[in-house]
Amino acid sequence: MTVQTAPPVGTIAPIPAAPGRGPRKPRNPDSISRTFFRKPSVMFYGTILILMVLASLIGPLLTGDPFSTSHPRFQPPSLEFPLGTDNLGRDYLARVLNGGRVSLLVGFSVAALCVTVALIVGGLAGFYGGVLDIVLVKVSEFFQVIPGLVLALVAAALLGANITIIVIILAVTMWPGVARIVRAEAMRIAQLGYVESQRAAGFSGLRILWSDVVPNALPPVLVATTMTVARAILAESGLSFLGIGDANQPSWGALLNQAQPYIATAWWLPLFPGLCIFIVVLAINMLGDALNDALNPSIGKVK
Amino acid sequence: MTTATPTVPDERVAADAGGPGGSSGPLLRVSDLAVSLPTGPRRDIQAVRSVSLQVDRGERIGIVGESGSGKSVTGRAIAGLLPPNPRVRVAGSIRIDAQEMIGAPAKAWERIRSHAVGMIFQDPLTFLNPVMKIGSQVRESIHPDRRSGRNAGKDPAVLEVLELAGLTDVAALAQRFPHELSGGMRQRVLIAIAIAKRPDLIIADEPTTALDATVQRHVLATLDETVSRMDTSLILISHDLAVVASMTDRIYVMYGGRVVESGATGDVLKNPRHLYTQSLLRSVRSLTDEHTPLWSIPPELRREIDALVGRPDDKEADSDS
Amino acid sequence: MKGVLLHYARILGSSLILLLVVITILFLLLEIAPGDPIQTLVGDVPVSEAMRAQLTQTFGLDRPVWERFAVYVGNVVTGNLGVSFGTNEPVAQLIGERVGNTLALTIPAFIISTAVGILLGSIAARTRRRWLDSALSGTAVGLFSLPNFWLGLMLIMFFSVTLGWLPTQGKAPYGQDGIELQYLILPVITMATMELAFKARVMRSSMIESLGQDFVDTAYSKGLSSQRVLWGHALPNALLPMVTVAGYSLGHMLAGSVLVETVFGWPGIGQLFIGAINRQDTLLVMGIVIVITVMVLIVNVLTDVVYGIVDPRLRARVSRSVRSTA
Repeated sequence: MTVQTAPPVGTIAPIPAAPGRGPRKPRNPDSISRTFFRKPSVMFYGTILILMVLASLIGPLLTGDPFSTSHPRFQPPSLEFPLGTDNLGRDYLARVLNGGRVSLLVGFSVAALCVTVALIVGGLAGFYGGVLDIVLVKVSEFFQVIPGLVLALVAAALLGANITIIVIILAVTMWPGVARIVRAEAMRIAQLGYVESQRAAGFSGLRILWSDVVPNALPPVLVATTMTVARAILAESGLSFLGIGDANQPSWGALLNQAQPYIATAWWLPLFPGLCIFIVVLAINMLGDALNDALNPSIGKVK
Repeated sequence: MTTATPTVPDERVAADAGGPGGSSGPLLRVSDLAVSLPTGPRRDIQAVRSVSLQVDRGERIGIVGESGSGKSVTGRAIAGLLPPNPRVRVAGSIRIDAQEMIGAPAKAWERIRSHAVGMIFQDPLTFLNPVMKIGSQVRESIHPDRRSGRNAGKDPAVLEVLELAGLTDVAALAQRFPHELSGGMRQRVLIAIAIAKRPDLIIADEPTTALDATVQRHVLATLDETVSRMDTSLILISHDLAVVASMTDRIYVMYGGRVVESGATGDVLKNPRHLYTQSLLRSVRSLTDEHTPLWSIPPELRREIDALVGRPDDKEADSDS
Repeated sequence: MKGVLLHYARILGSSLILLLVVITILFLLLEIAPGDPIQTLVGDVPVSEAMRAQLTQTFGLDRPVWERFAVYVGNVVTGNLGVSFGTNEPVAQLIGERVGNTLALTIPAFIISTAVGILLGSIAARTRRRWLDSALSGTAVGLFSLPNFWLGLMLIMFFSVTLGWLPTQGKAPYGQDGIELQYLILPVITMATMELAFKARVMRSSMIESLGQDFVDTAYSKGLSSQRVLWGHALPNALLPMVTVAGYSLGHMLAGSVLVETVFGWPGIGQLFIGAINRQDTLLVMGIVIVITVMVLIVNVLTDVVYGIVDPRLRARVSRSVRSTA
């Protein structure tokens, strides 16, 4: 991964180089999809991710009631209870699968909301500049200064803690990061020759934005989106671990919270929910990395 | 491809079966050099197909060609500065002072580069370490025995070399960083770095391309002067015929990874024999001569030249050559 | 010299503005919070009529918003962060007691994650053995995907419960006998892991990029050994982006202390924060957020200073450069 860029004097960007980022070469979308989906890591982690998602969606329909306390308590994993039972005698497999629903739902919703807002605000700011741009930069700075988790905790504590609010809060803390990437891309593309000629031809700014800027900004935005999903899942589980979450629909983090008193006695209780978080986040991060490599090709380039 | 055991570089052993040079043999002899470079996950390109050239002591040669002709790659191969990518393949023979360098271990190359061969690169901004002072960067090039003092800024050897390269106020300059200097000054620093090791051969790869026209002339003059003064051999690589014409004794014209014509500079430029050289000169003349309309090599002519040179379709990777 | 002063004046200025914005937003959040404002202020403690009247008077709850805001800001500036209703102690004192504990975790975690991250990233970047690079990169992604609180739980389960090597619950390591290391080990590892993985990744790509730069060719052309080129030329340049990363990381870890301290029962401001949130001890919450914000702002300024020192190109912006026509 050799990148032949030298920073121009006076414009040292303090933003660390993202892994694999280099001079952008226009690539055929078909060849990208082909190389991407054939990579072994993509096939492996993609499958894992799909399995986890399916398990969370369909699993709860197949297993028992996660709230029923009729089973014997503190059963270690067995054939009858693949993930054991918890302190109240509930089937842990059912609880974990339902928890997956919540965790994944929140993760993907946050990312979707985040990216939508980021595309709009970042795209407009980067393309048009001006006041909107300055505002975006300042807002970005604000969210960098106050750590997201802290802000989310305070907001959740004050405003209540159902799923919708948590999704909104997390999206609010995460969108400036993605918006910055969108803005940088929009600024770069807005300077390209063919955009100028479109403007000269009379196309409206919004139309150019929609038909040309956004599609070309997609590669880094896609990568950022996958990373956002991973971060959102981690953030939500952190919040629910600390007790901020919907009590009626415990996510994986909430399960971990409830398992805390039992780490010495019932090892399966803290193990499985966390393991699920790890597997899903790992799969998403690996896919994101593979996506990054596919979209930013950088083999040993020779001068 | 021959692999001789490396000789100790301090003994300038006379070359055996040498070329038509003087009694001590050519300083550099390149035979049938071929270099293949990776350009994609599974693609390679033959940047250099077959190049043979020779440089005697004190001689100045030029390598001219358009971009893609392989001239830069040739220069780098001679200095052993091709990318360390394992997919890069080099074949043929490069003999520096009768020592075969292809296949030589890294230590042998290091010794050659620290004593015998210096290189001047194209873009002085990116080729200087931005966080290191000028003085320190020059000092690294000087043999440890000839350094004195602890501070590069006060080392007379460093200051001397900077002055030789045409710089002024060198004591202050040595304390500065590359971004504080102008383009011409930076290029002179690169010259200083190259001559600091008192090399036998300097390879200059497009040394003035990144500079303004007026600065170009000054820097070239400096290069000319220092090379003469130190009696160093010079390989000047450029696409600019004018630059090469004024500074070299002999010239090699490259196209498509091969040498298509070579000879004394004046001869080649006045009476070009190869179709490509003729076309090249014609297009250059059309630029400078007001009475001639602008002319560049048309596609049919180019195809004819390609056929002459034996240049295959680049999509295949040549496996040997 | 004037350039330097101006630059830092500007940074300090914008930092103060950011702080003000943070306080404002907190205040606004309080305003929109549903429920009885006095109960919100007091939290779980039941409120008697007398207390209600007194609070209304002390905090001027019957006065308009901007007046209350101004009073609060004035208090903050003078160091008075109010009184925690849950414990009846001044907020500033509560925070002051525990900041040291949090720093006792954060600083070693910072040092370890930065040093090891740089080392591993450099090794991964320059090694010719692909398996080593893949292994290190893969491990980095793995560690990066671990929820750190789960890691903490697993570490406790493994090392404390099963193996009995280390204590399960942390406590302030500065007892009468001085620093008790065994309490520090697990929490610091937990805190450092994710940051280490991130830094290793950034360092690796930074080093790869640095090694691909042109000046590395010049260094080789001088006949320098590849060791010297790596450590003397490539590494210093690769470290530049790491300064910013390190700055962000410190702030990130301060926030992460909330999770880590909960897992390990560590008496730092993270734990204080969670307790305050659960009790709805509003003034304490706000006080802690302000303190954390101030710390992050200080780190940002320091990052800028360090960056200016190590990158000579940035020093140029505050001093005149030498130009000549030749």
